Amino acid sequence: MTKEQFEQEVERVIDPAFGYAVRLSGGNRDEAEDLLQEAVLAAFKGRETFTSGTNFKAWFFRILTNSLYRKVGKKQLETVSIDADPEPYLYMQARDAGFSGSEDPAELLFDKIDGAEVLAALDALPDDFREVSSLYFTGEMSYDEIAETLDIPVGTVRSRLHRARKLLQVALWDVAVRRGLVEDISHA
Amino acid sequence: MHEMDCSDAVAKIGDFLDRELSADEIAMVERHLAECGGCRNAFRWEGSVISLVKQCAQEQAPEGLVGRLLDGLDEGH
Repeated sequence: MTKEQFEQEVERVIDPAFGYAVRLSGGNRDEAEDLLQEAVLAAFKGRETFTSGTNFKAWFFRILTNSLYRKVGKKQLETVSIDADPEPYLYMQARDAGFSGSEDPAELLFDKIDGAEVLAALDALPDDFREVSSLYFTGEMSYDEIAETLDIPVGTVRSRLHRARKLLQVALWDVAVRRGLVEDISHA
Repeated sequence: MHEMDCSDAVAKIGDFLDRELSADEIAMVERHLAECGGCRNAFRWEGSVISLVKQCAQEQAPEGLVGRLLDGLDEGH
């Protein structure tokens, strides 16, 4: 891969890569830039290991992920008790709270939740779940691409992502309850 | 062909919204959703949560970042 080709590929993935780095850095944009700088240097030095015609984004994001763990070390997956049942948690909570379920959920609740609270919920996920979720939500990656990036089976991606989404829904419902949104709507 | 019930449909909710199902499975879920208002609502809420988090998590790289990152890459490496 020539320098020009490398630069073009980096430019193509820079927005999702920056988003992923921000999430890996717990929302710290300066740290995200430093992390990206390390990853770009490492990727450029190792560009001969990239196989032409394969997925540059997955290859680069793997280097980005490894750059972080070289710096801070990877925590083992915390033991979290999450029901594997893929129930749509927020919908069921809303229904139990008296909503009919046919309302527009965005208009009802989600537009009233602050973006920072959503990101705080994402950043608070256990490491392995946050990693998969960040690739999914900021990296716009398919399950296959996430599996390739993290070098884990697709089934593991699926299971972590589904559980992470449930944890996110639990956190978002807590935000809605804490801020009185549920009560306001129930009594409207 | 086997038709889905609500628990089958809900078990596929994530994969359906992520377009990770086969064409046959998509058709089965869609047939169920056409008949079941409860599942339609559940899928809409689930899709809405995903959209919300995606929208909040999208980032645009700061102006000039690519230039700073690529500046000085040494062809000799």
